[in-house]
Amino acid sequence: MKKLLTSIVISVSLFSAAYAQDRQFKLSKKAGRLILNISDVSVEGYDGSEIIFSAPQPKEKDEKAKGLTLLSGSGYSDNTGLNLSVRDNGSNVEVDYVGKQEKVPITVKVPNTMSVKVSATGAMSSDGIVYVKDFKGESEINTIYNSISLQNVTGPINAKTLYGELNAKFASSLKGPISLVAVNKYIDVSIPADLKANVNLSTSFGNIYAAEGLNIVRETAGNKQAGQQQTASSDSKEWSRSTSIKGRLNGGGLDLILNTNNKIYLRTN
Amino acid sequence: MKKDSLKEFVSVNRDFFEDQKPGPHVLNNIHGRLKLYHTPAKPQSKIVKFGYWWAAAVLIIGISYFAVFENATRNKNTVAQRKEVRSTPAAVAKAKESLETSQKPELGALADSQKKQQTETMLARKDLKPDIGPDGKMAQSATTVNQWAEALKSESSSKRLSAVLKLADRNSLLSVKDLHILFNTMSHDESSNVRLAVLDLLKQQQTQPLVEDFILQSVAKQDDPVVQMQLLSSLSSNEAVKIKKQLQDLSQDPNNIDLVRQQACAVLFRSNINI
Repeated sequence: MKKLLTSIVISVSLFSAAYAQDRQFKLSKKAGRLILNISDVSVEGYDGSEIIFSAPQPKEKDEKAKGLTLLSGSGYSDNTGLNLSVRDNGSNVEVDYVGKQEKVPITVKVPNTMSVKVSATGAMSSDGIVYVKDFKGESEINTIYNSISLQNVTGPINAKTLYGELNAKFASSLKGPISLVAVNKYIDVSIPADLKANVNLSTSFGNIYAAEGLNIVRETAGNKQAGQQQTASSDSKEWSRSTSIKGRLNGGGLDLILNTNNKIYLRTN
Repeated sequence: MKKDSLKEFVSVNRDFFEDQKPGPHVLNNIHGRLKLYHTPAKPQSKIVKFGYWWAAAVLIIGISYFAVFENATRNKNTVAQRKEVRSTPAAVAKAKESLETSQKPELGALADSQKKQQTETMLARKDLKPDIGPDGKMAQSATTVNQWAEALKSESSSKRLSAVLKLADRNSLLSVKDLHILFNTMSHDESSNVRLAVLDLLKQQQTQPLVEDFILQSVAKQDDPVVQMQLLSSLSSNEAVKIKKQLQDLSQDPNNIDLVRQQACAVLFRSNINI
C-alpha cells in the first residue's frame, strides 16, 4: 500500500512539474540594445549569448481562443507564445505586448554584453515593479506607476519613476554615470563604502539620510577652482525648502545623481 | 469383556491393509486447515499489485511524452519565429514607425531618430564614440570642442548624460550657440534624467539673461512632468510673478498630472499670487 501511495505521489508531482514548466522564448543575441516596452518585468543579466524570455503558465486558459490568433491594434503579432511581440532589427531588439497584458510576470535573461532600456509607461501597472538583477550592462529605465528595484547592478544607469519607489543595491564595481530620479516617492540606495563618486543629492520636500562614515566633501565656493562660476544651486535661495548636496565622496569619481521630492536614504553595502 | 476377533485380525495384518496412501494435496489441505503452514499468497492478489505498478509506469511514460512533445513544439515554434522575425525587417521598421508616430509624437519626428542613428553610425565609424571607463568618467577625447554636442545625439542616454555632466564640470561660460543646443536638449531629449542634468547645467549659466528667460518660459512649455516639477520647485517669488499667467494656466490645466498642478498652486500660494 505504501509503495502504491508513493508511486501515485511521484507520478502526480512529475505531472504537475511538467505542466507548470515556464513558457520560454529564446533569441540569439549578444550585442546591441534590448528595448522592453512592458511593465512588471524582471531583467536578469548573465554571461550568455541568448535573450531568454520566460513566463509561468497562465492560471486560466481561454479554451474558446484555442486555434485562434491574437490580434492587436498596434499591428504587432505574438511570435513568442507569451503574448509578446519580439522584433530584431539588427542593433535593437524591441519588445511589446500584444493585446492586454497578462497577469503573469515576465522574466528576461539578458547577456551582460547588451544594454537594456525598459519603458513601463502603462497606466494599468500601478502596483508592479521593474526589477533589474545581476546586470553588468548599461540600463535605462523609465516608469510611471511601476516601482524600480535594482539589485547587484553595475551601471551605467538612468532610472526614473514618477509615482513609484526606487530601491537600488549596487555591485562592488561600478560604472557611471548613475542617475536615479523618483518624483513622488523615496529613493533608497546602497553603495560600496569605498565608492569614489561626485554625488548630487537633491530633494525638494524630503530629508536626506546617509550612513555613518560616508565621507562626502561638500562643494562650496571655497573649494571650487579659481575662475569658476558660482553654482546657482537651489538651496542658495531663501524661499526654497529644498535640500541639495553636491560633493565628492572618497575624493570623487563617477557621477552619482539622486533626485526626488521625497526622502533619500544613502547606505553602504 | 468379549474378545473382538475382527479388531485382532486387523491389528495382526495391518501391513496388508495399508498399501494405499492419500495424495499430497489432501495432506496440505489438512495442514492448511490446522494452520501448521502459511497459506500461500492468492494468485488474484498478485495480479492486482502487478496492475497498479503497470498503471504507475504508464502514467510516468505519459507525462514524459507530454513534456517532450511540449518542448519539441516550443523549440519548433521558436526556430520558425526567429526566421520570421529576421526575414521581415521592413515590416518591423514599418511597425516601429507607426508606433512612434501614433504613440510618441512628443518625442520628435522619425527623421530625428534616423538622424540620431546616422550620427551614431558616423561616430562609431570615426571611433569618436564616447567611452565610459571603469572609473565612470568619459574618455577625454569624447567631449573636446563640440564633440559633446555630437554625443548628445547618441542613442544611449548614459552617453548623452555623460556629455552634459562633463560640460557642467568645466564650469565655463557657454556660447549662445551652445546654449541653444542645450535648450533643445532640455525640451526634447527622451530621457528625463538627461533633461534634469541640462537644467542643472543651465542654472550654472543663469547669469546670462538668455538662460533665465529660457528657464522661465520652460515652466509652461516643458512636456516632461519630472522636469516641470523641478522647474516649479526652484522658482523664487520674483520669478513666479513674472510668469503668473503661465502658472495659473498650469494649475488649472487638466492635461497636467496632479503633482504638477499641485506644485503650480504651491508656487502661487507662496508667492502671494491669486489662483
